[in-house]
Amino acid sequence: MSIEIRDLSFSYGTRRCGGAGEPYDVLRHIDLDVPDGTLVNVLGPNGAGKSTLFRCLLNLEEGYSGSIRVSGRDLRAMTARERAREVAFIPQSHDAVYDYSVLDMVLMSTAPEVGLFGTPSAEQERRAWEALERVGIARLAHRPATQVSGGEQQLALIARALAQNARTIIMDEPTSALDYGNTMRVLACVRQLAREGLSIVQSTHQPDQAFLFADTVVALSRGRVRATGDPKDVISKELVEELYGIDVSICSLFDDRVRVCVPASEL
Amino acid sequence: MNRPLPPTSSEPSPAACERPARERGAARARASIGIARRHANLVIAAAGVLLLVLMGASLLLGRFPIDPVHAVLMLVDRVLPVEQVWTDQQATLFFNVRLPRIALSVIVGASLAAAGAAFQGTFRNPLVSPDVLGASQGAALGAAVALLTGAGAYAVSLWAFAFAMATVLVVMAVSGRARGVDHALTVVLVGVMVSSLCQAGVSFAKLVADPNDQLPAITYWLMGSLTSARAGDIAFVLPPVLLGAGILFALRWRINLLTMGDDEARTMGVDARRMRLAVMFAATLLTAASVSVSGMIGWVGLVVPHIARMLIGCDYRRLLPASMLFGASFLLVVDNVSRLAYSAEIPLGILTAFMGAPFFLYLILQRRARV
Repeated sequence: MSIEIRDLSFSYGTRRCGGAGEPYDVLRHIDLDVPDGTLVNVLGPNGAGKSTLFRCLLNLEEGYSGSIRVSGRDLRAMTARERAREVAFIPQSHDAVYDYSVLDMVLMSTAPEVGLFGTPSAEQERRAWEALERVGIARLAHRPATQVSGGEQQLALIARALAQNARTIIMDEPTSALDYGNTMRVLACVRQLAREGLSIVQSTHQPDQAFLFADTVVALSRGRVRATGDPKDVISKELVEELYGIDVSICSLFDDRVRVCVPASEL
Repeated sequence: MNRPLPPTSSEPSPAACERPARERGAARARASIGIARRHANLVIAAAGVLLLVLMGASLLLGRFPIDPVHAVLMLVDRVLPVEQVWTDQQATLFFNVRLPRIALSVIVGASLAAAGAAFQGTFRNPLVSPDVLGASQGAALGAAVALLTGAGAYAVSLWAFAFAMATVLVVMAVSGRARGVDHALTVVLVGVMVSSLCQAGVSFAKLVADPNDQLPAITYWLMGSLTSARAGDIAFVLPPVLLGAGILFALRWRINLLTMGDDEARTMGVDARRMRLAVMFAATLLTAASVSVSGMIGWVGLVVPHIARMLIGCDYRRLLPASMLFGASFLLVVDNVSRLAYSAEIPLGILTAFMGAPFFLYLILQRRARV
């Protein structure tokens, strides 16, 4: 089991801007298992707690209650370096201030293996190249990471996560800024990586994407897990209505190999 | 439907992410990275040679020119006594005035540039300069207080250094208490506040200073100068400078990760907060030591890292040494102008601002939103 979450609750308390009132629970009693080699899609509307869940999984928020175990070890008991060896993170987008080359950016994720006062060795460099080749953008290695297209930037971030050599990758809406073609290419790449044994937890706004790519769907609503399981079992007319407030019909195509949601108002 | 079915999800997708047969263009990217790295190393080597040449030339230049042969002989004489062909006066000038001054401008230039580069990285902001945390203003306050009490040159340096370090420690301590919010932003805000407190203190010191001797001394100090550089100054700045530069150099690659933002750095195994404190401490040592012997010299720490970045890229493995070499050369040239251009010396702070501000305007116009 790559990730085991037990009874995870989290509230930002009153420290956030405008949070003068009582603490608001962002996550409530979440239980979740992520087996090795699965692609999990976390589905839920804005504010459902997806990003907060991820921040807890990455130990960016430490004030949670309950427990998170990664490869059998308690997340809070691990050092930053140990955590980075288990879990890699791919942010929604990459807002670099300086123009690092794609290779230099990918190389950064080898930090857990590089000594505190060291610099990456030829071995780390080789792995960075391997990761770039793996996602098919080695030809862009010398280009500034800020000057490649949005899709290529996401692939570069995936390469960075791969070079980190972690068994679990967490992706916060990796395709929210991408066009249709790039979205499909990035998601196909992510699924392929899961097939090869990586555990990937990914948030998405699109039920259709979950139908196409996810092994498991976790539906999150107001900080609670509403349902987990195979996309076809979990994503129903009722669930979409509850999560997004949209009345949809779920259509089955190609002998039920694919399903799509169509808003009832447009039929 | 008679059309062929799409592949089922258990089959690998054809679109991307196949185990690729060596991608076309990868070899070119590899070559191009190799070229860029060699280019950067070459620039650094050239900057080193340039600095040595400038130092040699600066030793000979001055109101009392020194013959190159004499200069070499004087240096050799220190190790291996040779027949004296120079006057004693020349030797005094050479060893007690010119050599320390050149050494000091090299040290100060390199330190300010390294500190600037480091701060720009940790705060993810290319507009940050070494005085962002109040080191310069703190040093100014310390110097002003020392000058008010009529202290000698070394005491003024000592006070300036102590105040600069204390100011930054206060900034770090205060910003450390604000937990759970953007650390970098908090530090900068606290730095601005504490700086302006120190500035008010300096203004007050000027107000109560004796207008005949103390006030000009304070004003002159604030403009920055290496006129009074002596060998003792070098002994004074060297320990903090070596310590600060050593820490920065050791962390040079990791500073790159800080520019990715705290969250990303943490997910890559770097304790961003602690790293930032270490880098801030090291950069402050460099700044405080420099400012305490030279007075306020702006712009070097802001502009030089920019030039270095334009020439060799933003990887701190190379940016740090390049900035130091450029900074040393830059300040050496400026100091030569300062002592040679005009019958009275022009304070360094004025010259660096005259050169730095227009250059920065040029940068802003060039790169618009990115600066």
